[in-house]
Amino acid sequence: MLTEGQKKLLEELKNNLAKSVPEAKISQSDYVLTGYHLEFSSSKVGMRRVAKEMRSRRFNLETVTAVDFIDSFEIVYLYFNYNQDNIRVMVRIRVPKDEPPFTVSAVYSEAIWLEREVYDFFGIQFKEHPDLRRILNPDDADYFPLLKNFGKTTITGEIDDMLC
Amino acid sequence: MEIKKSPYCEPTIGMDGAPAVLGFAPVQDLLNLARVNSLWPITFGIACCAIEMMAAGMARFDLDRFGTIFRASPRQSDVMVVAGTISKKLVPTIKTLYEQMPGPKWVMAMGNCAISGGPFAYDGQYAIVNGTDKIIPVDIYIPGCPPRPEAFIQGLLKLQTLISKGTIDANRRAEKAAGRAKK
Amino acid sequence: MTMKTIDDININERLYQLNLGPQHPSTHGVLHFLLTLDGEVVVKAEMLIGYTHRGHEKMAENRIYEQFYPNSARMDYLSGMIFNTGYCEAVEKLCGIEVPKRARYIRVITSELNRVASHLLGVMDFVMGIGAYTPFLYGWDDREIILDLLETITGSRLTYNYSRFGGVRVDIDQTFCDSARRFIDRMRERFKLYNDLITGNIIFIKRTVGVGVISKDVALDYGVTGPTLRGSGVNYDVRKSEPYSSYEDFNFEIPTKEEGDCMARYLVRLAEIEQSLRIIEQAMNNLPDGPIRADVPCFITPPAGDCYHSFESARGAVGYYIVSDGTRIPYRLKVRAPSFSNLFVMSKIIPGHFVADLVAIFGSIDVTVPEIDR
Repeated sequence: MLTEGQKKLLEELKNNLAKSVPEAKISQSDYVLTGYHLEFSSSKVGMRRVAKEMRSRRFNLETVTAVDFIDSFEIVYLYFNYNQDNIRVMVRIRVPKDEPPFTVSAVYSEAIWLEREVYDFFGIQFKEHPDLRRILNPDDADYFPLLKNFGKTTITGEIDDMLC
Repeated sequence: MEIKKSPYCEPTIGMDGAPAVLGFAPVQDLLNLARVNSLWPITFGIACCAIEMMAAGMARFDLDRFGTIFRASPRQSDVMVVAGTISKKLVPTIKTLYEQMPGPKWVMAMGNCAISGGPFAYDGQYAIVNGTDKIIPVDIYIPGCPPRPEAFIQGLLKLQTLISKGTIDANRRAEKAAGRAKK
Repeated sequence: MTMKTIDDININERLYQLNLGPQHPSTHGVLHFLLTLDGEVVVKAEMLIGYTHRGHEKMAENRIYEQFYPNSARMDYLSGMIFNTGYCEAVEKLCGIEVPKRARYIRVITSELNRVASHLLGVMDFVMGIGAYTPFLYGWDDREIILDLLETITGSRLTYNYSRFGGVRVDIDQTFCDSARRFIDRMRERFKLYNDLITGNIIFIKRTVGVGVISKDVALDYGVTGPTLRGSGVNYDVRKSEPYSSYEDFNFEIPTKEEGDCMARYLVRLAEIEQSLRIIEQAMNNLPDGPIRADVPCFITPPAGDCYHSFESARGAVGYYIVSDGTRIPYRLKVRAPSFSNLFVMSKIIPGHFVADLVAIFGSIDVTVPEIDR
């Protein structure tokens, strides 16, 4: 159940985000099932505008991650505010593999390491990132481990279906 | 209790240039007794097993009664307890630390990850090395995920038995094997 | 002839680089600090991580949901029960499974016991890093009692595998509750011992008050969560802002301090132990009867979609982001580790401090390195 404060904040966010990135699709989602209140999805980049908008409303960046959908990447940003009316906003953009987005580390300093991790796992080279290097894998690694065409992505070993 | 001499029975240090008295068996037994009762491990805990190694050193299980004192510097220690998963980025570190330790030195592989990769070994793993003995020669293997502190103490006591029998340590065995291979 | 002093020498010739780690005796894990020093003062600190990277997120794409239970506990092994329970809750959220009330209360009891054990270890490790060895021994002794308690129901001391989708594995009985009550009484008496040994100690005060101040703005900019954030004045705890697993039924406070230095974070953790003891007492007094596990198919197949579940571990706000494509294997599983952001803030606050202060600050932030590296 949403409180009055949360509903008001959601309405304001929807209007402001729609103004800053007009071509995006913004919808409310069921918090109980998905864990976030508002979903913003777009196929055009505009992440710096969104980040500035969220920062001005005193939201914090929870995490940045990516999902590999064989012919494109979906980059996911999760914003959350720590005050009274807690709202979680899920921002996702679907970009082709050779068009990475701009970095948001000018707005949120935490993104410096978060985007380095996404680069290390997927090879997404965020534009204008101050320090884009590998962070978790060895420096001389020549693979990006979380791509679907690296290694295996299937059940390895037998699962005994009889053991129920 | 009769301690049988092991087939690898010979001095644990190289004899070139050493005084001849060290070749006598009773002198070697005395030196081994001294080594056994003051094994100093290096504090090199990597992951979850490190917490059980620390718990073994605490007041409940008390490693201090066996003469172990954890030393921070590899130059002052003679046992390396590899406790945790070895990732590929960590391999040069382990090799450097091992080479910095003065002989005779022993290695204990603690936990399933250090023995063979543990729960992280699967067909398609890119990040870890499946076992310590692929990098450095290992004397004692302590299985468990993580092994209880009592299991760690059992491994330590087994190492003590090995040393007092006069068994040559894995490092010297590897050196001799390398020397034989060169010839 | 005038003597040359150190200030006459060009700053660039004075700076030198020091490696603190990856192996160092403040036994917090394999973490590598690359410090640029001017004498004893740190000018720049860079953290190199990845020495315990085990590939949890790729492993998740290679096994069914049930096979990920062991991985979840081994990420942050000091809050293994909390991570394990949180993973089960994330998948239950995705599938829409309702967990019975008794199971939720048991999960709260075991998670809070785990939190007390983790705080004891974290605080005592911090104090040992400063140089006090005796409280370390006392704190770990208390922790052994909790480990024995949890071993009676789970079978392991450190990496638990207790929660299952839909509930928990084994029920708790009256002996468990009696032992837990005895432990709570003993722990409450031990606070006086810890305060006498540590908190009022003049050396401890001089080494922690005013050292490593994280201001509120810096903490929010760097995404810091957990006791580190609460020591800087922000009153955020996932158990209060997004209650999960029946935390809304319990009466507890969120201790917060304003100063943001090492002493503030230490006091916040000690106060949190007391609040956790309160929660455990209330949960045991009101424990309802009923089943401990919902009726869940043996191998679950969540519907396609994604879900983000956030919960509070001993180090901060953890998040599991699961993308499912309708099969038995996750399509993507991402773990938001609190220590990752908590560590990064150090590169902002360390410059200007001595090397000895770095050890104190690092201990007071209380990270677990395998959780950073995943």
